[in-house]
Amino acid sequence: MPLFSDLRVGDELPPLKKGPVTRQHLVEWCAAENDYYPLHYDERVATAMRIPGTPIQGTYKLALIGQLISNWLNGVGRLRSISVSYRGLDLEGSLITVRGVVAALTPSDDGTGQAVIEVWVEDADMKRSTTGQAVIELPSRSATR
Amino acid sequence: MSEADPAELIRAEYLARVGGPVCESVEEGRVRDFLMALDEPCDRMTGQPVPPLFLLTLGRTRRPQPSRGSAVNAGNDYEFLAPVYVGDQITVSRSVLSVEPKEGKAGRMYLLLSQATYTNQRNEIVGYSRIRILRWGW
Repeated sequence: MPLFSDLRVGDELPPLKKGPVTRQHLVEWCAAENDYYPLHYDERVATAMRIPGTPIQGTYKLALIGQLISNWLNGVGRLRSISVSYRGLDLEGSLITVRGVVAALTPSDDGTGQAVIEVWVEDADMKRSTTGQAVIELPSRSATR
Repeated sequence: MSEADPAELIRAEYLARVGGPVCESVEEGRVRDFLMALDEPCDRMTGQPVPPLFLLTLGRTRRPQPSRGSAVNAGNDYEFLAPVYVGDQITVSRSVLSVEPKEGKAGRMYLLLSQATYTNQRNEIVGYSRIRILRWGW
């Protein structure tokens, strides 16, 4: 459980490893997000778009970043905002790792504070396909007593 | 007769697809599906807010997909103002902020920027989102 007073810029969140991400994961995510864009489960659509396989949904990677943060917060603090850009594709079968690092800390007068977390998804070669940042509101030690 | 401006066609097609405001219940089963798709345990749902990014599942339109050309999601932004619970009624209202031409590897592309507002049954805005969709091969 992170407390604002304990955080330092550069602190890393415990990484979240996923994969291999299978066709079943992609179809389950279609159902979960209620969007069945066939690019994510039909190679014919991917081939027509000159993509060499069915890509993992960007929103799935976004949700995994949300999972990384909620695991780290463990019920304390809250996610205020998140912004991500999908810069590359991760195809079905990929092993991906979701990471975050504290990039900035802004204290409030009451001892609580905001943390800006740089977040990204990387593949097995540590190439970042998704990058962004999240803003977290965190309590101080006294606020959790 | 000259062809209509692609940017205007993309805007019109998107608005026709998403339609007007949509009100949806935050159903426990859908929250469970969301968590299970992430291999997340579902036993901590009771009385707890749903995961903030559950908002991305609301107000979605399965069909029709884009009529021509290709489309990919280039990015998402979310701002969370208040927690959402199972049983809430969330109204999602979408608008198109811009459609801008870009030059890419595939030639002329268009970047559509859309915003959604999420309002609960007490008329409180619980969040906003933006999506950037890249279209090409138009």
